Parts: sequence; structure tokens; C-alpha cells
Amino acid sequence: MAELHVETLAGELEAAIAKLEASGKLASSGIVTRVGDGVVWIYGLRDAGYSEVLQIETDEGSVEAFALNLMEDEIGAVLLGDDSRVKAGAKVSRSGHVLDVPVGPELLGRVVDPLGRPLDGKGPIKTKARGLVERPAIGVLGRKHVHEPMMTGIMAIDAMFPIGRGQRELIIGDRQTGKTAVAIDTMINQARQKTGVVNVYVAVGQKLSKVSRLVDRLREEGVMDQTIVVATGPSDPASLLYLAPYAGCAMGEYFRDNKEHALIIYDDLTKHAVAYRQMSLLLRRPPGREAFPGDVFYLHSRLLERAAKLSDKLGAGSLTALPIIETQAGDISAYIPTNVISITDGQIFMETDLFNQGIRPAISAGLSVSRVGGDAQTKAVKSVSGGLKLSLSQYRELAAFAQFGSDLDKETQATLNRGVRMTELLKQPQYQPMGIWEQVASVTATEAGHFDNVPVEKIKDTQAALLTELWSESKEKMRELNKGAEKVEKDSDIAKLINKTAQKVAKGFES
Amino acid sequence: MLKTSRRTVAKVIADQLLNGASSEKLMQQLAGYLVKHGLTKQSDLYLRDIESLLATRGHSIVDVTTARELSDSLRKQITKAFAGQQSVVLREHIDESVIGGIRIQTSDKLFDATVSEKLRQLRA
Repeated sequence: MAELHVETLAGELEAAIAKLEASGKLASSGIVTRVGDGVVWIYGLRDAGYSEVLQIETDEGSVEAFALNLMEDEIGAVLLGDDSRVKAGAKVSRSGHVLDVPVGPELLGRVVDPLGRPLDGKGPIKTKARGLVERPAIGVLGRKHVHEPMMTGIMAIDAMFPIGRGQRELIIGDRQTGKTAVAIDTMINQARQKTGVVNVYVAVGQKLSKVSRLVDRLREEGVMDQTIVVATGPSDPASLLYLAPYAGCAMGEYFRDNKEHALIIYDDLTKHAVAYRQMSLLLRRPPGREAFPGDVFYLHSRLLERAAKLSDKLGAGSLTALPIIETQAGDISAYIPTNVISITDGQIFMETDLFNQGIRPAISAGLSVSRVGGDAQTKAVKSVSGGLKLSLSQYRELAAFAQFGSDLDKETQATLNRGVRMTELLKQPQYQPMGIWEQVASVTATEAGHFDNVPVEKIKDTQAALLTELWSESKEKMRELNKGAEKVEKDSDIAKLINKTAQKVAKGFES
Repeated sequence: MLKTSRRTVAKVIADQLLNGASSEKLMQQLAGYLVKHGLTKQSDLYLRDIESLLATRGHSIVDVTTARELSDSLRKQITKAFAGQQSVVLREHIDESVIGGIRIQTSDKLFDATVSEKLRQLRA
């Protein structure tokens, strides 16, 4: 056995040497003139292209960089590896290609860095295909309008701000308001509801402990088998943080282009913009507002435009993007938040106040919007949730007035009463995404007023009891309802069933 | 004041050299320019730029590195490889660390067929 091993080794070595014999060719070469802070300045290589990968020779193998500043006298390139190994005077050669990453189903269940190298210690990843990191977004003719639902499993979102496959929906809010939780629940829901949607989670400069906790949780929930995690930590070079979303997008695009559906989460684009600002300033590009470079809008617009619903001709696949933006003290009019709000097809705004009041997910009904999702909402949910957003905002308005006096007419009292219960109903613990039937049943029962006499603190218990009852009594009908394909009319059998059960259940909780 | 790019300075010098200006005087002027603008550290980059511009105008300066001294026939062969050029100046270097083979370097191109380079590639 050992002999055979040696023979193959000798063969491989011979092949390698033979390949080298043929490789002598006149190639352009440059030299490093300056290096520091992850940026190298290179003399020569006047034929290098924008974003081309350059190889820099060092004592211990070569280090890659990609060219970003092509100037008359020199090239500014950003290192993809350790800058301490690169010395001034080092030889630089062109690679002739732009950055690409491995893509394909082989990556599912893996944690990789933005260059596709495994970080989970589960051995090398061998994919058949590679995808360009920077790739132009699909054109007008290749697209179709967003019409299929991407269920998040979060009732407040699915009922009021539905997201469609191929949509870009921003999740925005201060730190510690549950932005990532919404994204994770959405990923978990894809596995629970067996939608077959592939998840790509891109961590941009996130604490690695947080990423590792997230991966463990996803594994526990059985979601990891259909998930790719692209992880970068705060100690990674800015170049990797900058590349991470594009690399993750390339991995998601593979599924989009192969007639599948993918969901990509960029957590978060604020750090991405900051990493790009660092790179730009080190490359001596002029700073603009908040010291961000002039093309920071393009940075995000070209990334998010790659999320799309493809036309039937191209296989009707989709890539849904959920970018996350962190605001400072709820200021959504800062530079990066306004940029990304204007790029995306809507936003889910998370509020600290709501979060502290115990309304979790802390989604602000007034500031959140989904610009295309209405077409994509499941018929079942759409038919029952029409009045939800309106009655909730009426409630909020009245609640503000009601604080001044207690003399209220009956109608106002009723609206307030219903609003409190609705708010209570929309609370949902983390890691517990709800199916379509659960959402439909809960909303139908509350809208019909069956819970109006149940004390607010017992609403969640009543809801749980209703769902248990429905599931144990009429499993088949609920399975049918969970497909969400049919409208739920007020006088349909299923609505009657829900109403009847709700009445019965509510009786037991009324005081 | 806008900084004159290195390329522009190099172009002026290359043009003047080709027009038959005295190289000694030109270099003195260049040295003065570099000192005045605090660019002395970049002097070899300026020279490389001048070389590369001269090469595009048909006058190549080629660095040839070998382990042993070049034979006349090899010299001829190398000169022949730069067929499109009006004149080719060989700067020969002998460096035993390349072990064998030949390395030919112009201002911006490199042909590396030395044994040491092949060994390095094998290691990588």
C-alpha cells in the first residue's frame, strides 16, 4: 500500500514539473512600493484590470490582493490576507481573472469565509461551479414581478408587511431590538414549513461568538442542512468584510439561477459600509458625507439589485434579500439608513420602546412597509388580515388620546379594547415561527371579537388553547388551510369552524 | 499646485533623450527636480518609467539574469526575441542563486525561466 502511495506521489510530482516547463511566458510584473493597513501600492502592471486579483510574492507563498485604484502612476490594491508578510519591493503578477468563489449545493450546511474557504473544520469544500463575486444584476427582461410568498413565520410581518420571493425587505432598528431574531426566525420557518428555500446568512464583522451561537441554534432547529453561513469577524481585514455580502450573494445566485429559491440575510450592511469607508479612505479616495466615499450608494444598490425573481424563461428561481441596518438612537434619516431604505422594497422598523414594553417582535406598525409583498401574500392570510393594519393604527392613535381623559364613548372603548388584544396577540416568542393556519386562526378569532371579553394577560393562553383545540379536532382541515391557497371567506366552513372553536375556548378564559 | 505625474515627467525626459539631448544634463535636471519635490526615494521608479516609455518607442533595455555568463549565441537569440525594437541594450547580471535557466526582465514585463523560480512555484 505504501509503495503504491509513493508511486502516485512521484507521478503527481512529474506532472507538476511538466506543467511548469510549459509555463514560462512573458508576463507583466510589478513591484510593491508601499504597504500598510491592508492596502498595497504597486508600481507597474499597467495592463491590470479593475477588481482583478493580483498575486504578491512573499517569503511564505503568495498573498492575493485585488486592484481597486488604477491610476496613472500606480495601482492601489486591497490585500485579502495578512499584510505583515508583504514587503515593499515584492514582485507582483496578474492572475488574469476577477474574484470568484465556489458555489453550489456542496456548500449547504457549511460555514465559510468570503473566499469560500471552510471555517467549520469539516474538511475541504469541492464544488463543481464557481460564481463571480461582482456580477451585474439581471436585466429587465429576465425578471418577473414578485408574486410568491416568502413566509417569515412572524405573524406581525406575514399579516401586515408580507414579503415575497425576490423582494428586498430591510430590517432596521437600534441595537438590541431583535433584528437578527427576525432574520433567524425566517430561516427557521423555511425548514419548519418545508418551503425548500435555501438560506444564506452573511455575517459582516459580527462577533464570532454570536455567529457560533447562531450556527448551533440553526443546527439544533434542523435548518443548517439548507443553510450556508458566510462569516467574517471584527478582526478580519476590511477587505473580507467588504467582500462578504457579494460572496454570499454569488452563493445565493447559484440557487436562483438553478430554478430554486434562496433567502439571503446581510447582517449587517452598516458594518459593511464602515468597512468600505475604511478601505476607501486608505486608498485615498475623497471622503464625502459622514466620511463615506461617493459611491457608497452604489455599493449597496448593486448588491441588492442582484436579489430578484427570475422570469419563467430563466427558470423562475428567486433570491430574496433581508438586509439589516443598525440605527443610532432610532435615527432612520442618517446617511446609510436612508440609502438602503430607498434601495429596498420596504422596511421593517424595530423600535426600542416597543421592545422594552415587552412587545416582541418590536415591529413598528407605523414606520414599517412592504412595497411589493401584497401581491405575494398568501390568499388565506390576505383575506383575513385586511383590516389588521388599519385597526392597529387606529388603536395607536386613540390610545394616545385616551391617556388624557377617561370619558370615552362605547365605540372608542371597543376599538381600544380590540387594539390591546390584537397587540397582545401579535407578540411572539423567538424561535417559534407560526404556520399559515395558526396565523389565520388567530387573526380570524380576534377580528371576530371572540377574545374581547378575555382579560389581556390571558390572550396568549387563549390563543394557544384555540390552536391546540383546532389541531387536535380538525387536523386535516388545518393542513389544508396551511397550504394557504384558498381565500378564507367570512361564511366559509373553515371560518365557521374557527369561530365556533374560538367562542368555546374563550368562554373558559373569560373572567 | 497640482502635482505633475511621474509618467508625464518620464515622458518629457524620454522624448528629449530620443531627440538627442545630452543624457548627463537631463539626469542632472531630473535629480534637481526630485530633490526639490522631495521625491528622491522614487528615483528608481522614475528610471523604470523612462525605460518603459523608451521601450514603447523602440529602444529596449533588458535585464538578463543567469547563473553563468551568457554565450554570444544566446545574446544574439535574446536580441532576436525583441525583433520589433530598433535597439536592444542587454544589462547582464550573474547570480548563482538562480541555479540555472534565465530571467529576462524589461521595465514592466518579466520572463522567468530560472530553476529557482520553478522550485518556488513547486513549493507554493
